[in-house]
Amino acid sequence: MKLLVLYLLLLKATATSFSGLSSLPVLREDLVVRHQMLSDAQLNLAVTAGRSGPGPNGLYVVSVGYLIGGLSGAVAGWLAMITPTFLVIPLVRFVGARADRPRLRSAIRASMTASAGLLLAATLPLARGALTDGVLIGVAAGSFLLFAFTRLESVWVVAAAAAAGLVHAAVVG
Amino acid sequence: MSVSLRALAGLFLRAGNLTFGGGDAITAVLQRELVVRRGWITLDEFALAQSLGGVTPGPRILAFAAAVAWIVRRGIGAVTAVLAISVPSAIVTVALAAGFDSLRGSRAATLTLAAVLASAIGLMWAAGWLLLQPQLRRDAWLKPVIVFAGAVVVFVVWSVSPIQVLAVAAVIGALWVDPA
Repeated sequence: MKLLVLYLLLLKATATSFSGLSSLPVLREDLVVRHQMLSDAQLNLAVTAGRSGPGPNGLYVVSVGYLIGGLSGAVAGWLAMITPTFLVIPLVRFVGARADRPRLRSAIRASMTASAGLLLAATLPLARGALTDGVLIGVAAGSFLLFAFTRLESVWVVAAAAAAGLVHAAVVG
Repeated sequence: MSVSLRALAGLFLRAGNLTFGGGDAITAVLQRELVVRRGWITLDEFALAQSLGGVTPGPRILAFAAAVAWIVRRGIGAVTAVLAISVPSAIVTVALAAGFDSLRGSRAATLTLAAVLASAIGLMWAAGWLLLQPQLRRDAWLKPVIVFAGAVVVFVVWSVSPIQVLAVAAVIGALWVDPA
């Protein structure tokens, strides 16, 4: 029963948000403030774990589930995270069938252009916090050039960056 | 183009579970792999999936992945992509939550993670460029430049929500249609 409640509370947070961490206010209100199933310190740990690993930022919901209900709680969190996802399919079917109309195509392309701007804007605070020395700036610039102007498999660029980080660690001790 | 489920799962496994930096970084990898390198979908289909992923509840990247995979392989493709992109990284996240303190104490792990995150930033810059560049036609460059710069300014200066920025851009696009 507790797992079902946990799933429904997490689903409430994910189904009322439109990006990874935007579910945080609803989730905190329900799990920390109202039901006291989680402390603020545990919530911070869950967010840190979600952001430190690979994958979507929204994965912190899985960590929240784990910290409350162990492995079965993590499964409840994962299910709550993916449940709203499939609503996109009827949307794609409906809009996709009309996507060859010039006005709609132009609207979608303009939205894509804006998302490129949002992407750049979103990296500005990240870059301020993450690119703290010459090595890291070099890694970012090199990655940009490789991703933008070559067809090298993405995973090799990431692996090269990780290798650069290990070498950096070995050099600075 | 016929794409096997195995190939689809392999791509989403790699993109979703070896990419640090969250949904934007994964989207950037997928754009490059799906549109530029493999040609499984067109840029217009990518844009459609990205736009609709943004208005679907839950993590945007999962909805985007489901939409793209549905275009490539319909329902079974969507389920495959969502499982491939979310299950392994969810396991890693649980492991991190369980043992985060010991990982945080390692200087080598911290510096390696810092370099991977720096790479993710470069990747996101590249993704922005790869989205913008195909639209900068000699006879129709003004609208993309205005929309791109406008999105940056209203987001950075006035903190307008991404959903509102995308909606206004879509309205501008619908009203300002360039000749084919």
